[in-house]
Parts: sequence; structure tokens; C-alpha cells
Amino acid sequence: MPVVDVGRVCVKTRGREAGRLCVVVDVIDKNFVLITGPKTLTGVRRRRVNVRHLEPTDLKLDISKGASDKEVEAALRKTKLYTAFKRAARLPIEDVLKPAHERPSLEST
Amino acid sequence: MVQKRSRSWRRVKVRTPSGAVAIRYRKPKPNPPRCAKCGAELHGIPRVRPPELHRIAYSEKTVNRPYGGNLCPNCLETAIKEKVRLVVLSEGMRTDLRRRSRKARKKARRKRQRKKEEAAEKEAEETPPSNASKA
Ligand SMILES: [Zn+2]
Repeated sequence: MPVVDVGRVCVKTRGREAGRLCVVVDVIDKNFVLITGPKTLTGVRRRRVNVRHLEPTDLKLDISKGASDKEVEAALRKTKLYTAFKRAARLPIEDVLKPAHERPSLEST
Repeated sequence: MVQKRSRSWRRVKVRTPSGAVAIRYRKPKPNPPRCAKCGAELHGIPRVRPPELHRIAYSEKTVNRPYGGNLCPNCLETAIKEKVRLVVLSEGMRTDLRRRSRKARKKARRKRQRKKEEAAEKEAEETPPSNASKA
């Protein structure tokens, strides 16, 4: 099971917000969490999602349970993530979609 | 006007005004749109001939998702997950996982050793005063 806890930075993998960065704000039960982009930054609305539709990253924000969008943004501003959130609101996945032989290897990057 | 006909075209029986049943020919339906990666059928995309695609609105030919109408949701999900893991790898654990060359390994070993020696020296310098203070 992925580690999805409050403050965890995730990427949505399903739906119209797929590929966008978001932050977990609350854990509702073992299947659902409350997330937010916040919308002004990454376009992800404050909403309930199935954890199966999230891909967790190793990044975590220092926010309290049920933090507002403003609080999340403030927490983001404290870290280096703010610009990353603004710039890479949606992860570019073109390189991953290429066939294996055309992809740059991990060694070279 | 004489209708174009072909054995492979779909035949539809139509009752004409005179009461006779005539056979009309309909163009074949193209294959359903498919995922570019795995070939699964895509839902929500009309199964029409190319000129018709040109005529209908963009919103009718896509689904509201990145790569909607091109990739199936499963392939998109795997691609995104792969990308996320790639990014995590490249920023966090990459150095541990990267196969290092012989030279690089040797260099790293020497560096580690040097660090160890330095730490030992530092400790050796610091210990006598602390012992003295204790005594
Ligand atoms: Zn597919």
C-alpha cells in the first residue's frame, strides 16, 4: 500500500487532473483522502479522491490535518516546492511514452 | 442518381414510395478508436469515417483527460506513475541505484576512507581535553 498521509505530495493519475501535483490534507478512511492542489497553483480542486488514483512522492509538507488551501500554499512557500508546483503543475510524460530504445537512460541524466 | 455499391458495403432494405423494397448501400463503419499504446478500445470517441471526424466538434472527439482520445486511462496511469518514480529516482536515490564505474567506485571508497581518517583525527584531538576536564 502506498504511504498516503497528511501533507504527502502526490500526483493524480486518473481523470482530468491526471498528472497534476497535489497535497493530501486529510485522511477520510482507508480508501479515501481529501486533497488540494491548491487549485490556484496546480489546478487540482479540493476534493475527495480514492488513494488508488494517487501516486505518492517522497516529499512531505508540514501541515496540520484539514489545513486550508491558504495554509497549504503558505507551507509550500516555505519549501523549495512552491516554484516546482507552479512550474510543473502537470508532469510532462512525453519521454515515458516513447519506446524504450528512444528513452534517455538513468545513467546519462 | 445511381448509388455506389459494393459487396462489402452494408445493405439496408428501404421501402420506396411505390411500395417496392429497394436495397440501399451504406459505407462500412471504421474500426473503433484504440489506445495508442495497448490497443484497447477507447470509449467516448465516435466511430465515424475520417471526413465525419473533420466535421464534428473537438469536444465530441475527445475525453476530458490528458491524452484523452489517444491513450486509455490505464496506460496513462502507468505512464504517470513511471514518470513520478523516475523523477523521485533522479532526485533522491539515484546515486545509490546507479551502477558506478570501477573508477568512480574507487574514488568513492578513497573519499570515504579519507573522511573516516579525518573524523578519527578530530576525535583524537578532542578527546584529551574532555578527559582532562573529567579528571
Ligand atoms: Zn492503453
